[in-house]
This record gives sequence, structure tokens and C-alpha cells, in this order.
Amino acid sequence: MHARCVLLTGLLSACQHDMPPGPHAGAPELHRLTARQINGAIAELFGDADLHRVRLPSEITVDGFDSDARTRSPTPYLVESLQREISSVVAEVVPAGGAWLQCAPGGGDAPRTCGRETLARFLPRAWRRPVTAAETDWITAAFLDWEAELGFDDAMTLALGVVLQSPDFLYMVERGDRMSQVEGIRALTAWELASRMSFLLWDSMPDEELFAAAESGALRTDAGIRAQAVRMIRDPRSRAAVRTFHRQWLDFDAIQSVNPDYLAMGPVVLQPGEQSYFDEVLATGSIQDIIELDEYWGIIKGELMLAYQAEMDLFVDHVVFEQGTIDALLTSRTGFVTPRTAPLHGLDFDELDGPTVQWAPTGDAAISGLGEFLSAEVKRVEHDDETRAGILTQGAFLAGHSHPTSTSPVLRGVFVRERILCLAPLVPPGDIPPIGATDSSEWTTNRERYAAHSSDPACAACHVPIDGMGFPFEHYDAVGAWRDTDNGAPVDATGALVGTDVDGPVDDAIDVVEALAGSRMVHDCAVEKLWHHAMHRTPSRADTEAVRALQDGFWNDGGVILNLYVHLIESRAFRTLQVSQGEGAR
Amino acid sequence: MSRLLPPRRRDVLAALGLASGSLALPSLGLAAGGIPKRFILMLTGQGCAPDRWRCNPTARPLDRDWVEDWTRWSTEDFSQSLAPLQPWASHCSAIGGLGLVSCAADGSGFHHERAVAHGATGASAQWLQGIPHTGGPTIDQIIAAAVARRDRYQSLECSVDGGLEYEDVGTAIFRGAGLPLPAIDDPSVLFDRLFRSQLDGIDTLLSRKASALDLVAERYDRQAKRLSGDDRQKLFAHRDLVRDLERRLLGTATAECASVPSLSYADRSPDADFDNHVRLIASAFSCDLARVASLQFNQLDPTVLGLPAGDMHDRFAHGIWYDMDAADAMGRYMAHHAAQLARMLEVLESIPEADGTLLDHTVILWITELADSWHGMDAFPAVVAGGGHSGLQLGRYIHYANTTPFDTVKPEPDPFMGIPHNRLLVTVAQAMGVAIDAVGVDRIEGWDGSIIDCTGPLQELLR
Repeated sequence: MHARCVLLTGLLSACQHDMPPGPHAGAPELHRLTARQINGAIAELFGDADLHRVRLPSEITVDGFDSDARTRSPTPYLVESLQREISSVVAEVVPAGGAWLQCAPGGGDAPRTCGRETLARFLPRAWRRPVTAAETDWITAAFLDWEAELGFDDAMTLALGVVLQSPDFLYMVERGDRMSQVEGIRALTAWELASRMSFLLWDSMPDEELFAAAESGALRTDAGIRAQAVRMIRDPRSRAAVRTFHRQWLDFDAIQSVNPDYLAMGPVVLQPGEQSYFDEVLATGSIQDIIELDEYWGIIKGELMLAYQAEMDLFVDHVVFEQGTIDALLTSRTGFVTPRTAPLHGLDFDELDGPTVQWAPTGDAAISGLGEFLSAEVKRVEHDDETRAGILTQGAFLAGHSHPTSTSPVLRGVFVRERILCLAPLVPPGDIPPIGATDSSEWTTNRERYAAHSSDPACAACHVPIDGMGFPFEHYDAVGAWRDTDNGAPVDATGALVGTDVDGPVDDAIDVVEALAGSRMVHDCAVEKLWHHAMHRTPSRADTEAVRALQDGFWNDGGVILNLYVHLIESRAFRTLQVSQGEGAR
Repeated sequence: MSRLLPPRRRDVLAALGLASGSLALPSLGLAAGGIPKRFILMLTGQGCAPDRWRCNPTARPLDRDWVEDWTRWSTEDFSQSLAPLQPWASHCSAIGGLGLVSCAADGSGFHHERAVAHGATGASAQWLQGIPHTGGPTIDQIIAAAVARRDRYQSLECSVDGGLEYEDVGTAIFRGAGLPLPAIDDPSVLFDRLFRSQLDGIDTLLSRKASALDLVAERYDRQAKRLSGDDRQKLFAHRDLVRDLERRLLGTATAECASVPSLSYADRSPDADFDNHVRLIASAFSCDLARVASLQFNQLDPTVLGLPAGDMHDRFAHGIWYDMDAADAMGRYMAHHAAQLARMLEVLESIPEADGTLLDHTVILWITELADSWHGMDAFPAVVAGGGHSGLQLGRYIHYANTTPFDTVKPEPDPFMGIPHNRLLVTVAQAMGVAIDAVGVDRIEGWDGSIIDCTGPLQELLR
């Protein structure tokens, strides 16, 4: 078979293990499932979405992505956490039983037979591939030994713990189909491809139907792969996974760690009743009353952060699944507001038409404790006043890239350059004074403060391109509210795009986002980001052609984000792997 | 190795290559004579009433730094809150005049949560949904990472009456941001964890848990060999970590403890739980099952202090500045914990070790949730304790003047705080032999534009 394929290099699709055409990718990185993916797979395996969620040490992110293989080497605490957390999930499901268990809880009348049958069915699902008789025997023999000594529940708990701590479950071990190898490139096995698809689209393992497609050979054909990819995207499970990609790419979580100062930002955020209370306490209260006021501000601030998180989450979900394109992500006039943020848009929440959605953080976004009890009422709005368009005019981005008392054109400019345009970071020279250390008598507005330091030629090399992209957002203050003046002076939101394919002067943020929406660089950047997320590494030199092909497709397609997922899955890069040297003989 | 381990200890040890003497102990944390050094972190709720905690029997100026030998003081010279430590004065030092500066500099609101996040870490909080969570490792974990044996418990986390926690995290002890370590509240559970196998021999389930890990490691080995390059190394590394975990599981069960404490667990009052926890920790230390422990307390019930039932926080903690009854209640509150610290010293002192006692090789740090119980970040009360090999200057009362140009809350009349408490954490780490010069935040910008240095030990405290 190998020889025949080599002979038919020009007609690869004629091989039994048909290789899709197009450029391939460089050697893959061994991927360990994220905590999100482990939880998704465990819920699927046991048919229970409400199980104890496995909590693992947080990952070191690379450009926002927590699945980059370079930072995910195993650590002692990880291995200890896996053992503890997986054991507690298993200890919870075993006495409860379920469809995964081939008998009544406790083992029924024939516990040893039940254990054998349960493991024979469970192992290929957990390891996401057909298993060998030796593999089944290996775990079954251990179970039977344990069962004799400890009884059914403890033995099953131990056996399932072993299965779920094995590399076959925790890692995406891919070796490809040896028979398909041509010039160091192998097709993935149908099972490996199914796992790549499901962990990308669902953050979970394949379901029965995807397994069936792998079994039947459907995942060996373009049509079969496409049909499954489309089905999976239409399945509600894709929404959380697609949002997670955007959350990490676009740094939604920046909003969680901002601390707007109440003296500076209180007047913007506080509602009239709150404002008069604050004024009164500040004027006449004791130091203890003021401490208590600070506590109250913390709660209001938390409410604002949650509102912005809700707005961003719902906005991205709406744009990607209803409107579809990068253009819409950057320029859509649709928005979402809560009772806390509606006044920041000059709106009265109660007067708004349309249904109220109750939003609460879920999954990764629901960190712990109080977070789960918080929720926000949200309504959808259409902004028709030319002040808001797309993600870069959302509070989550604007407040998330500000300082406690002032905006930061630098943080905002850097974000646009690095996350939206994939421009390389500009490296500052050493020994530069912090921005606050410059002479404050020189400036009135925040812009002037920043402009003072970028007029220095040593600073200008970086700050002209960065600030040029940050200044246009000066109409949005440190909590993301619109303002016409800054410190009493009119806002100057002009700027310039530099170093892009849409360079030129801009008047304000709307100008920026309209320009970016038409930028090929922005579209190419989105492809790079999805590649990073899906392949667990930034594109390498060996990936250049494969990434370029996807970028061409994405641009020609009009930047439809969900189509990009499908095109990636259909690509040769996603469906094959480059074999490392020395592995060919195995 | 055989999949099924015989349940007898010696065979298990032999099978793992762990027969006596084959374990290499880490060199860190070993005091003279090869005796390991131990560390206990005691974390109590609320904060003090500064006027009831501070000692100043010779009326020294508070705007200067000074050190007094408090072993020469009479009982009356001790403050209301610290009086119970008088019999143990030569084994303790109290440090007045520290500030939770890193906490004051870290946003606003959520004073309790913020202070818990900073107190034992010195690190900026991890703000999630506008709420501060612990953002770095607590000092006990920093120390444990350096001094723990790999085949024993890295640390013991114990709590009294639910422990000190917010937002349902369940603990104040963190291995790092997002890595809470759950605490054991019920001392009988702690007993089972530590000593059950000492009484019963290695229990079958435990040895089977180890054999299950053995299977897992075997699987990593097999899969690694089918891969090449980095992928292979990654799975080998995972395999080795699984083997370490297996060794630790058995290692803790196979420690040879000369005596297993026989305690009654019938009384589950907070004070009885405290006493049991302390005795179990001391026993675990004495047979090197662990070298680091923490004890965290929920806020005390006022009835424990002879006060009317109610909520300590709402009724008393906020009243310290204008209500004498409240100040007295918080004075008693801290005195109760000081008496518990004295009890801890008594227990450690009662266990002989080498030519002295366990206390000689132990360092204890007692800190509170907030500085003052009215949500204040300044005048953070701290006590260190231990014995001759602690590496600390004991028997002292140390006062630091407010010299740090940071204001705890606007508009403060005197915008200076005590020196950053991070430096106390550094001191304790260095006393334990951990070669670090900063714990958590290393510098903060003051309101006068100066850089507040949070690094380096407190020289008055380090020996």
C-alpha cells in the first residue's frame, strides 16, 4: 500500500487512505487536554453534565491562549491534582451508576461480569479509538484483582481512575495511519481526526455519531468530514467552545482585573441616588464611613465588570452565530446593555424594547463562589448614534485596557496592533521614565500627557504607531463611557494607522474599525489566531503554506468565521501529520 | 514491578526501592544535627484593636523604631491582647507597626477578601469579576516547596470552625493563583490521614491506590516509547511525576512514628478541635510525616469570649475606635488566640527531640486577616515564635514607626503606613532557610513618587 501511494503521488486521492490535497503543516505538538476539555469529555463519558468539575492548576497563557503546548509541561502539582480531582469525580459516579455501567450500581448479581463488560465498553470511548484485546485485558485484570479484595465500587473507582489518568485519555496521542505515509506525511486515523474535530468545536470528546462516522469511513472523505463539521457547529455545544476561542483571542478577561478609582470614575458610574449618598458621606462622614463607602464602591465596580463581561459574551455569540463575519465583529451596531451600563450609553434600561436575558458566567468564566451567584439582566440594543461599533467600542475592551483613573492609549493601541493585526511587539529601549513621571504642568488632557512623551524621538519610534491606534479611542473614558471632553478640554480623537495595509489618518474609533474591517491583515491575523488555538502553537515556518492557503480562503470567503473553522478542518494541514524523523519505522 | 502490592509494609518498601536509608533528604530546612526545621502558619480572623494589642510599657515614642526585651517585662507590661504570651516571652517576638501596604495599593473595596489575599502572600490579588482572590502562594507553601520531603506530605492544611475564607473557596491557603488547598476541619479526619495506617498497617485500599498509579505510570512509559523527540520526553516526564506521587502515597503511610497520639474527638467545639489539630500536627512533625502546617480560624463566636451571642464582626469588630465595649471585645478576641498560640508552644515543647524539644526546630508565624478590625490595613499585628534553632531573634517586642509614604484610605490625615508586611514574610522564609529576598510584591509607588521597597528581611528579627 505504501509503495502504491508513492507511485501515485500525483493522484493521491486514488489511495485507499486518501490524502487531501494542499499544503501540510509542520510536526504537531503533543496536546494535553485542557481542564475545560477534560470536563467536557467526562460529562460525555458519564452522561452527566452536572458532575464535580475537575479543577487544575491554571495554565500559562501565550498571547491569551491557555492551550499552547510550549507552556504546558506536566508539573508535580498538575499530576497530583489530576489524581485527586479525577478520583473524586469517579468516586461520585460509581455509586450512582448510569448508562455507562452495564449493571445496577454496586455491581448487581454478577459484579465481575459487569465490571468486565463495563470496562470493555468504556475503554474505547475514553481513549477515543478502538482498543486492542491486550489493552482491555490489562485494565480488566487489574479490576478483577481489586474486586476480589475490595469489592465492586472501590475496584471500579480505581480502574476508571487509571483509564482517565492514562495518556490515552489526557493527551491527544497521534501517530497517524502508517499505511498512508507519503514523504513523511501521514493521514490521521479517522479516530484521531474525530478527536481533533470534537475538542476544537466542542471542547469535548466525540459523541456517538462522530464515532460512528469514524467507524464507517465517512471521516475519510471530504464530504463526510464536512458534513460532520457542519453538524457539530450547528450543535449548541459549539457555542461555548467558539466563545472560548474569542474570549482568549480578544482578552475578554482583561476586564476582570481592572480597578476604576472612585474619585475619578465614580461620577461616571454612579447613578443619581448613589451619587448623592457618596457626596454626603465624603462631605460629612467619619473616616470609618469612608472606608465603608470604599467597600460599597467595590460592589458597584463588581457589577460593572460583570455587566461588561455579559455584554462581550453575548455580543460575540450573536455576531459569530448570527452575523458571521470579522467585519461584523469589528463594526456591528448591535450591542447589549444592563441596568448598570445603559445610562453610560444615555439609555434608560427600563424603557428599552425587547426581552431581558438573564446572563451568568458559566464554565471557565464562573471562577468560584460568589461569581456563580452573580448574574446580570441584559437587553439587546442597536446603536444608531455612531458612537459604538463592534468589539473595540465595547466596555470590556475599553475599560479592560485603561488605568484606574485614566484611559490608556498605549494599552489600547498595543491590543489593536498585536491582537487584531498580529503585528510584532515593539520593544522599548531601557531606562525610560514612567508616563506619570513627566512634567504634569505641560498637559491638560490625557492625550496631551501621552503626546508629550512621544514627541521625544527616542519614544516616537514605538509610540507614533502605538498611540496613533490608541488616540482614536479617547472618546471612551477609563470605564468605557462616551465623553466629549477630557479634563474640560474637547477630546481630540484623531489618529493614524501606521504599519498596516490600511494606513492613513483617522478621525475617531469608528474610522479605525471601519478601516480594520476592510484590512486583509486583520483577516490574516484572525486565521493565525484560530491556528494557534486549534493547533496549540503559533504558526511555524513549516506551516507557512498551509496558513497562507487558509488565509486566502478566508479573505475570498468574506471573512465568515464559522466557515474558517470548517475550512481548517477540511484542510490537509488539519487531517495529516508530519512524522518526526526516526518514527517512520514504528 | 508487580501490579498487586502485598499489604505488608516491608515488602512494599522493598518493591519501591525505598528500604530504609535509601531516601535522599533535601538539604534545605535541616537544622544542626540533621534535624529538619518545621513551620506553622496560624491565620486568625478579623484583626486587632490596635490600642489593645500594642505594648509600650516604657512609653517610648511611636514615631521612632525601637526594640525591647520583653522577657523582662511583668505581666502588667503586656497589652490585653498579648498578655497570654508572657510565660512564653522568650519563645516569641511581637512585631508592631507593619502595614498591609501591598493590599492598600491593590484596588478598592472588598477589604476582608483583599486582606486575606495579601496577608500570607504579599502578592497582588487575582481580580476576578471585580472580586479579589488570592493571587500567589501563601508563605507556608513557599516554604513547603523548599523544605518538604518528596515522599511525605508537602504540607498539612487544617482549619478550625470552617477556616478563614470568602467566596466559597473553602480555604485561605493557596499554592498559587487559582490553586486553593482545601483544609481539614475535623481532627479525626486529620488523624486518619496521618496515622490510620500506623495502627492498621498499610490499608489495602491505600496500597491498591498506589498500584493503580503504578499502572498509570506503566501506561505513560508504553506510550512514550511509541513517540519520539519532545513528545516522548513529555510523556516520560509525566510518567516520572506519577511515580513520585506513588512514592509519596506509600511514603506517608510508611513513616515510622514512635507514638501515635490517642485523642478523643467527641468534643467538636472550636477550642477542642484546635487542641487536637495542634497535637496531631506536632506528632506528624515529630516523625517527619510533614514539615509544614497551617491552621486557619473562622471568626470567633462572641460567646467563647464571654460576650453575648451574635455576630462578632457586625457587633464588635467595627466599633473599636468609638465604643469601649467593642474595643475590649476585640482585645479579648486577640487574647484568646494568643492563649492558643501559647498552648501550641506548650505542646511543641513537650515533645523531646535530639537534645531538646520539637519547639527548638519550629518556626511559627501568627498573622491576622486584617490589620485592625475596622477594615484597616495599617498596624498589622504579627507574632513569630519558636525555639533555639528557629533562626529568629525571639524574646523581643519590635515597634516600627509609620514611615511608608502610602495612605490606606483617602482622605487619611496622616498618610504614612507601617513598613510593608512583605518583609516579615521574607524574614520568616529566610529563617526557614529559603533563599529569597522578596515575597509577593517587591515594590510599590508611594504618593510622593518614591519607590517603596518591599524586599529584604527585618534585620531586628533575623538572627
